[in-house]
Parts: sequence; C-alpha cells; structure tokens
Amino acid sequence: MMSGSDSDVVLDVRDLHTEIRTASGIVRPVSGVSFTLERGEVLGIVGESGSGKSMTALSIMRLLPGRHVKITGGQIVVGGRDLVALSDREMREVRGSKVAMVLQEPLTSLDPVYSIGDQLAEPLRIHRKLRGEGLKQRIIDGLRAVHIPDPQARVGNYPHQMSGGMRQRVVTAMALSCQPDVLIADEPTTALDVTIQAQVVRLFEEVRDQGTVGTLLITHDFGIVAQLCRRVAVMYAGRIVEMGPVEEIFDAPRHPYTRALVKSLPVMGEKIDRLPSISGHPPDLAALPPGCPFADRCPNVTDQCREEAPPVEGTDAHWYRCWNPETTGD
Amino acid sequence: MTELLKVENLQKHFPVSSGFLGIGKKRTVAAVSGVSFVIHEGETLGIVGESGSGKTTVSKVVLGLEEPTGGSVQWQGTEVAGESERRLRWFRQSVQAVFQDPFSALSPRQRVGDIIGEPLLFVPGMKKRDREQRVEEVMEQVGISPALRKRFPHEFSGGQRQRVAIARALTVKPKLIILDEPVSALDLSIRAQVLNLLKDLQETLGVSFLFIAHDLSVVEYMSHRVAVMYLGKIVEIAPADELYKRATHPYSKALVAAIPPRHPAEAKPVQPLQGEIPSPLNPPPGCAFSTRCPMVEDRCRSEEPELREVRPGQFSACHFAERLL
Amino acid sequence: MAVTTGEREQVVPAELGRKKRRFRPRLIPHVPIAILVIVVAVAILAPLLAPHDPARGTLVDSLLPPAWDADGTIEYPLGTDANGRDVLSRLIYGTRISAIVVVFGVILTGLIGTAVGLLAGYFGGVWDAILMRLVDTILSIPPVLLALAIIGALGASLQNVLLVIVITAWVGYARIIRAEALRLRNADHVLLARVGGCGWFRILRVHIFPNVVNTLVVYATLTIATVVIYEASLSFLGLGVRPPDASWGGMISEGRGHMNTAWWLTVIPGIALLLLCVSANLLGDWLRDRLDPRLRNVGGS
Repeated sequence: MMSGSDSDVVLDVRDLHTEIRTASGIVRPVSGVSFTLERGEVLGIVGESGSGKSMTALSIMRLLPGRHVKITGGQIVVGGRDLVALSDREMREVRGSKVAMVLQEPLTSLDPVYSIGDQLAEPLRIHRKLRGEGLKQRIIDGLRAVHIPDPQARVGNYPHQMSGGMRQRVVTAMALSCQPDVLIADEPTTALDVTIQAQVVRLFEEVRDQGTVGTLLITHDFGIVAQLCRRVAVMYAGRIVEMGPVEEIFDAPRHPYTRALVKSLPVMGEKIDRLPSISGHPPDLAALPPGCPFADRCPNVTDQCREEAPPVEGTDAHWYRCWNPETTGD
Repeated sequence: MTELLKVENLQKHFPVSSGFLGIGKKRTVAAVSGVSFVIHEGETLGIVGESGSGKTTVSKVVLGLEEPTGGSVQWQGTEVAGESERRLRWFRQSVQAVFQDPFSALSPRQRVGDIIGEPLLFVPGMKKRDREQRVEEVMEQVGISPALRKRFPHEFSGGQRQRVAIARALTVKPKLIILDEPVSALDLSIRAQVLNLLKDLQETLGVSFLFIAHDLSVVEYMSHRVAVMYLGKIVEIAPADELYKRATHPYSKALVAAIPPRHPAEAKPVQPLQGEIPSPLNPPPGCAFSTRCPMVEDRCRSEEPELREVRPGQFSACHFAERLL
Repeated sequence: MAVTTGEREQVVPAELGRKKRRFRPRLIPHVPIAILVIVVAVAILAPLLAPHDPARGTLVDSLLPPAWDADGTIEYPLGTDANGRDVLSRLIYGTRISAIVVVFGVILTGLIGTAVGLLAGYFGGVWDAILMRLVDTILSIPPVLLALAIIGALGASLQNVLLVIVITAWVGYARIIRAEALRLRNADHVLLARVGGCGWFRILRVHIFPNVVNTLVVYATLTIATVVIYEASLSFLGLGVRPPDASWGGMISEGRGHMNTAWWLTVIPGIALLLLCVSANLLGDWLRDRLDPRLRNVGGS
C-alpha cells in the first residue's frame, strides 16, 4: 500500500466480479477488479468504452441496470461494511450519505420539474434529517462551495435555466451535500466545453485539497488524470491491466496497452508526422480469448499470451498484468 | 497554392420565435456573423470553438445544407451560396463531408457497399461495373476489406464505421472534405488510427480538409492553419504552431491554457476562464469576449474589434493583440 | 499485429453473436397471430366453410339455440336467427366484411397517410401547414357525425362505410409519419445523402421510408381493432352493410330485440368481435415493444 494507515482507506474493492446475462451468453464487464481509495486522494480509472470502468462505478453504487446484471463475487468495503452484502434498504442509507456519484451528463442528472434547491434538499432531508432554516442554510452553503454565483437567488432556478457547467456544479454540490467518504465521478467533464471543463477540473482540485473525501475519477482523458490524480488504474476488457503512481504510468508504463495509449495522443506544440496508433479495436466481451485480452493488438505478443491469462507482476505500488512487459528504461 | 474555397463575410441567422400563430415580432439569433476565410488546395484549415461558437453552422452553409443569410461562398471563383440543390449537383462532386457520430451517419438499412457507392449514382455516364470497382478501391484505401461490402453498418465497430463514412466521402474524388469532429465520438485507441488515415489520404490524394473540432490538440496535429471561433465570429486565424506558441487573442490563449497537461509534472493549479459563452440571443456590445476577457478595457465594451493581421499570416480580432506578442 | 505508425491494417468486423433460437410457443404473440390467421383464412374460404346460405333461412327453423342446448340441432351448430338463418354461416361471411374493412381501412389509408406524412414532414413549409391543418380539421369532427353526414347523403352501403373509414383513418398515419420524417430530415445520414447528391425522392425512398417502417407496422396493427369496431358500430346503427348481407355489427344489432330469449344472436358475434380486436391489440402492443419504443403512448382504442 501507499503511505497512510488503514483508517485512511475509505473504499476497498476486492476482487469484484460483475456479470451480464445476454442472449448470446454471459458477459463479464468487471472481472477481478481490486483497488483501494484513500481519503483526500483522487484515484483515476482510465479506459475506453467497454473497458468496464463505468460498470465498476455502478457496481460500487449497487446501481446496476436491471436484474440481468449482477455482482457475482468480491467485496466492496466502505466504513468497515461490505456493500455487496447489504440489503437494498441498507444500501439506500449508504448511497448519497457515504458514497455519492457525479455522472457525465449534467442535464439528465437533474430532474427538470424540480428547482435545484428542492433537489439539493432531498439528500439532506433523508440522510441528515435537516428541516427549515438549517436546511436552507446548508443548501446555500453547498452552492457557494461549488462557486455558483448569487446562490440565494439561484436556489429557485430550474435545471433548464442553467448552463451545462453550472449544472455540473449543482450535481457536484448535491453529491457532496451529505459529506460522503467516497465520491465517484464518471466522466464529469466529458460533456463540457473546453473552458468550462477547466472550471470543473478546478472544482475537483478544491474538493481533493479539502481532504475529506476520496474521489474515484472515471475518465478516458489522460490530461485530466495528469492534472488531478496521484494514482491511476488502467482498465481493458473488464480488468485493471496496470495500476501505479501517475508519474510512472506516464513515464514508465509497463503494460503495452498503457504505453500505446499514452503515446497515441496528439500533444500541443509537438510536431510529429504520424501518431503512434494501436491497431485493431477493443475485443468483444462476449467472446474473449482465453489468454490476455490485449493479445491481438499487442506488439509484444507471444504464444503464451494467447493461451494463459497473465499474472500480476510488479510491486504493491505499481503492478500490471503482462507476460512481456515494457522495460523501464524506455 | 490555388484557392479552392473562399468564404466572405458569411452570416447565418436562425428564427427563434415567431410568436403565437406566427403573429408578432420575428426574433432571430445570429449563429454566424461575418466569417471570412479561404482554403487552398491540399491544405487543412482547422476551426476550433466551443458549443455555440457557430463552427458547425459554418460547415453546413459551406455544404449547401443551410442557406446563408448574407455573405458569399465561392468555389474556385463561382458563387455557390443560396443555389438550389439541383444546380449544386456539380458542386456535390467537389465537396464531401464526414460527421462526428459514425452511428447516425450511415443509413441503418443500406449495405455498406451501397452507402459508399451512393454518391457515384449521380455521376453522369458512370456504369455499374465502374461504380463497384471504385467502391472496392476506396474501401481498400480506408482499410476495410472490400469483401465486407454486403454487410450492414450495425455489424461494424465505431472506428470501422467512421472508415466507411470516410470512404463514402472519397468516392467522388472530392477536392475538399469537411470533417466535423471526426474522431471525438471514437474510442481512445481508435482515434490515432483515424487521424493517421486522414493524413495519409491527404498526402496521397492532395485533398483539402476543413477540420472542425473542439479539441485544440487534435486540430493542431491535423491542420496547417487554425481559425478560432467565438460567438459566431473568427477571433483569430494563425498557422497551427504559432497559435500554440504565440496566440494573439486572449480567448485563443485561454483555450490553449485550458488544455489539460500532457504529463503530471506539468500539472499546475488551473486558472480557468471565468464565466460562460454569452447567449447569442443577447450578444454583448463591442467585443463578444469582453464579458470574460482578463485584459478587458472600456474600449472593448463599446467598439467591436476587426480581424487584422498582427504578424505575417496571423490575424487577430483584439484591440490589444500587440500586448500578447 | 503491432503498434503501428501510419500503417493501414485490414479490419474485420466482430462476428455477431447471432444464434438460431428454438421456436418456443408463447401466449403472446402466438395466440393473437393464430386468431388473426384463422380470421383471414375463414374470410377467404367462407363459401367452402359455411354450411348454409347466410342470407336465406327457413322460418320453421327460426330462433333455434346452439347445438349444445337441449333444443338445438347439430344442423345449426350456433343456432339460427329470427329469420331462420344459420348464425355460424353468417358469422363466417361476416369475417369477409371485417377483412375487407381491414384491407381498406388499414392498408389503403396507410399508403395515403404515409405519403402525406413523409412529404409534409420532409418539406415542411406551406404544404406542411396546409396538410396538417386539414388533418386537425378531420380529427376534430366526431367520426360518427361524419359517417351520418356522408351516409345520409350517399346512402348506406359497404362502399360508403369504406369511404368514411378512408377519410377518417389516414390522418392518424399522416401525423405519426410526419413526426418521424421531421425528426429524420435533420438526421446525419439524411444530410449526408444530400451532400452525396441525392434528390428528394431518393432521400424519402431510401433514407427515410425504411426507417419509419417499424413505426408504420406497429401503428397499422393497432388500427385494425379501431376500423373493425368502426364498421361494426356503423352497421349496428344501420348505416353500414345492409341486410340480408352479414356483418358482425349488423348481427348484433338484429339480435338486440331477442336478447331475453335468444342470447346467442348477440353474444356469439360479440365474442368474435372481441377476440379479433383483442388479438389485434395484443399483437400491436407486442410489436410496439419489440420494434418501436417511441410509440409507447399511442394506444390501441
């Protein structure tokens, strides 16, 4: 583990498995995901669509879409309790108060028929049993904390009266209103414009620096990871293929997929003729090969990769699943 | 370099409300107000801007999908703006487009080969066999096996569909392809493939691109020159690397600064631009950016700055552009 | 394969995980489909199936109960009416009327409504405004009132019932298809079709129509019950098929006077009508869930 005593760990996910039953067989969008999240840190989970990063988030929230999607193994420990074992009723207590979530699309995260004040009041009423003046004060404080100008006036606004960036601030204020231990942010900046994105990143920096909440940042944007995170997990086909401190992931990635992803992004001010690209496309989760899921696209592939799933290698601080990792002296 | 497309003082207004039963005052919103640029043969002009900047409207007008409210669009010296669809047929063979979403861009019930070959149906005197041959040729060019031409779009992944969309744009051998956010809907590991493919095509075919995106680093990688749009106007046009190194408009500068760091070592506390893009219904007087500009002065709020050449090849619409040099 | 720099590779689509599914009989849709198939078959084969002439009876045999009743005979399995005509034969010939009504009321009106809806939705502007005001006007007239007016002027006959149905039913299609065309008009693939040089007819035929077929099929199925009941109501009111020709609505109307003594005259055609309409609606609901979730709020009446 990294520095800090065990009490700093706000979320401990151990060997999580989630399955979807489909007409063409069982798909495992999350298979054997483990990580810990500490108070005051931002842990990045990076992956493409279908990598299982969002499904991991929904599994932690126990908000899986439908009865055909189920957690089939592992533990999700928050505050000494395993969320997987909780009843639906107990889980409702946890959601919003201990673990909160911010989604990608700020428009659909808010209910269009209620004012933002009403929507902010709901979790405070349910979890903190606040009423009247105290409730109102907390709502206004919450909006002020996310830099909504003139919060007293804004409380009565409806979502459609606010811009995308403003809505994302409101959603964040809602998530933070009950002072949760864990904040899960699923692509919180993806739907926003570049300059607004910078404002929201700034907001997450402030949340991080207050040190009261551990943030799980799910994204496909390495730039935002570089800006916000201390540690990163890279997901591919339902597995964490590499996890480590952010500098090492950028400078000395050991998994060929991580390396290729980091290198394939265009960089401002750097003149190159062609970007190094990854051939092929992400695998079909319903028909995964027996060995390493990246084998078909990997430059270091050997026969062993196609037959046997790679073991976890490296140290506790920086580990990866690969038979033929990149050398560190890149 | 020969000039292919010349857009001058382009205006596009949309009606917003026509009142009850169409009675009452018609209000309009200016999506594009006074945009001018040229595209040369074999060149890529990038357009960056946030939502509401008017960049997509510019592309729709150039494609003849929207009629301009004012200004001119000249293709190799001939006016094409406001021409009827029938009379634009010749122009259709010269300008094609690829859009952002590869899922909605392909007719779901047409076979991939038919999708790619469709624009050839309107080439006078082209025989079926020639058409099929051309379809196979472009499929090879974009890296999709011609054996797959009988498949339907839903059988392909997002990246492959975007290749199909590119192939379709190529069939009639256009001189200009408008690429509207061609990679932003694609998976991370697919983007570089598609960007490289586009660069390869430009090199081998000499086609020009109008590359529209919100991601400045992608635009910079693809383009020779970049135009930055804000609230329906071009605020700066510059060679791509100049824009990154020495932007001469405070908005371009803010855009460059808003790009997340490429490495954790470069991460510094973000100084985001305050506020949001104003509503085009109520554009501020004077400079459109004055409401958010860190170097705003009284003059900016009353007098609208003109786009002027600040350095050779670099144009800025800021009264105080020289201060940024 | 390798991490390449600008090299082009051939990409092969992932095989679809499409497996042949075993046929498993289910209550829905298989029972409604079976009932509709039976109705169509009976309508086509009516002369072969009917044991008696539906229009003629012998007064000696009038008002006989169905065969399972103690007074019934096997010669008239579902009994006879006041004129001694065989109820079963009349029921069988009555399906023909219902089938004709469905063909005109659903297929012909579907064609008209779709054409109008596509043109209005795609072109918009003045023609759209005129056509849609016409649609609104027709929708605002109570259908029975319209039927009374037309049939009052032209006389009661099957042709005039069909005329009334066609006049009133196409508007539903026109509204729904127009909304779809309006949505698709600005879809990326339609804009790109214009960029590719397609004219309006090809765009409607190749790029818009195939994408509204699902909606069309679902709506058509849900309309079956509406038009069948419409014809039955008109015939019940004496505005439709004239006796002695058999129509389910007419049969119910004729049997009304004998409700106390001869229940079978109203109940049997009533059950037939109910089965047909419920089947059509169940099938329509099922199709809607399968094909077109957007139509969730369009109910079968």
